[in-house]
Amino acid sequence: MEYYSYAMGICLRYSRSAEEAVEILNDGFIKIFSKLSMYSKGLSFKGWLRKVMINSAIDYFRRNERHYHSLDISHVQNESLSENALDKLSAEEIISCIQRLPPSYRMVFNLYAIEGYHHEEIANQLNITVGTSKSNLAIARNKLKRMIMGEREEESKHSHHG
Amino acid sequence: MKKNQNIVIMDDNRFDSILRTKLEDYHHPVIDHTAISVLHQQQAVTTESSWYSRYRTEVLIGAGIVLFLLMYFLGYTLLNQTVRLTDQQTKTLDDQSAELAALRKEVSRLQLLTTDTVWIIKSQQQDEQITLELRKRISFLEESNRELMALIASSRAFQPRLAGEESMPLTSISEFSVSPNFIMNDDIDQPAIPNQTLSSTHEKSLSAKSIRALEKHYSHGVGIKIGPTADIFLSQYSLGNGQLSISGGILADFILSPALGLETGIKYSERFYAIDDEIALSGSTLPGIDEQLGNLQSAEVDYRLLEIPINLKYRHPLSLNDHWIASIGYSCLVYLNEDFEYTYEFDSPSTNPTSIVSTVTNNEAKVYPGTINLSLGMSHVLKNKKIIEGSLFYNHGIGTQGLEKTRAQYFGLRGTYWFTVK
Repeated sequence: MEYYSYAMGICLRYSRSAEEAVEILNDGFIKIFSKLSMYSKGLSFKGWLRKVMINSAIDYFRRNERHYHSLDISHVQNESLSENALDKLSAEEIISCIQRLPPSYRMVFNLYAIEGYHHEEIANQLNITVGTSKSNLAIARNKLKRMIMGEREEESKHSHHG
Repeated sequence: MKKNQNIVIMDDNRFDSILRTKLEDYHHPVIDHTAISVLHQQQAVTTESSWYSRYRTEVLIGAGIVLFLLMYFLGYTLLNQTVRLTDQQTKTLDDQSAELAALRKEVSRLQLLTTDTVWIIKSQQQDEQITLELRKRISFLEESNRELMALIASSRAFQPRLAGEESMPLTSISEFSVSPNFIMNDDIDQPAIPNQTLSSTHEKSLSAKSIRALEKHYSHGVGIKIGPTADIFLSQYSLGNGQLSISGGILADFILSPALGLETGIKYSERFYAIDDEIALSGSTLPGIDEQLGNLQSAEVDYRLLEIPINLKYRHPLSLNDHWIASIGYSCLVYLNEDFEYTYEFDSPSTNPTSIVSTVTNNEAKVYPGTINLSLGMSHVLKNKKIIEGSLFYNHGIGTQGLEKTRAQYFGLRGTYWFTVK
């Protein structure tokens, strides 16, 4: 069950809802069960599980997300956000914000910011250009910052009324 | 990192780092038991999957190879039969022509004989009887030769492969040629008009009915032609203005009878159009529009697609080498890829209104109902026995196409260069 909840935590970040996350998760576990022989015992099982779940999320994206977005964002302004605002957010709240991102932005943000992929790797995996990967990441960050600021404002309004 | 009064403002790397720390080892606290039971069911299905589903690609490739070999064998056998038949006809023509020459010689000899006074009555009766028999035989052979020549000539027009080394050279046909007047009994003692051939003017003078009768007489089974094709056409879309496009591919024409054929094949094309009209933009189902980016000003749509036509063709002969062609049919369209480029008016508070361009790509192949096809054109048999065909066509889209659900019509010119397989 420990691995299940860990894998679910990963899949939730790559999906827009719990139902979608379950689909990715099940795909991932099917792959794990069918290719268990490929797992080398010396390596961390958790690391392998993580890798399989990420690949499963990429496959799901390729299969279901018809539209890969790319934008010329040279005119879009960078949002600024205080570190304090971010510190107060829980993991669940952050995941909820990530889930509200459009699929292509969510995918690039997860792969780059959380998993540490390079833009070249992302471009290769998602069949997009490096420029598209960079612009999607910048927009994803901006959107996330705006959402987080919105969450903080909502919270402070509630606390004032309280 | 910048310090602004008591608030710490982050750069992007710091932002990413904080999120990574919070999410990297996150365990979702809620266990969904329904999801686990679904997983178990999926596992069971995967384990029980049939051999066919596991080796589907291999099975499909194998079936394709078997089908190809079968068609090749069938085509080869039919072609051999046709070649054998023509050889047989040529041999008969040879034999009959030799016999004809001998008979003519015999008639001449009989007419030159001086009659004996004692046997004059008897001899005259005998000669007349023999000459009559010979004339009948000559008439029959000439008629038969003319039919054979017409068949061999038409086989050369419609079966170009027979014009190879194995079959009789064209010049030899002329040696057996006869004048229609030659069979007249009164002229039998005159020398034959030499080397009068079934000339091109003679071929042209044949009526459509006669050509059709020749084609019908000669046709054996289904003929096959294969060739490259290219179209140039204008597209018209319900949402915007199309541009001149081209397509290319390979077609096969299955000749079911002298008049009817079934044409099919595969063609690739790239088509594009622009949507500028505000009403069309707001009323369409264009995918991936992000209104947060500003007001949508225009959209450009590019398609890459495969067209699989199946057309019933009617051929009307003008001469042995020229035909009118009319066809009606249907094309299935497989969209391989669609690109949408949107131009928004981005209204930033800090800068003047400016354009922002967004692109959306759909790489998922999709089959659309396609088009109803009409065409009218001409075909001509070239000297190398290949056939060139040109036609005007109109394709009318059935239902809507593309993710943006547009209706389309295409009007253009098609050229095809046919190689006869059998």
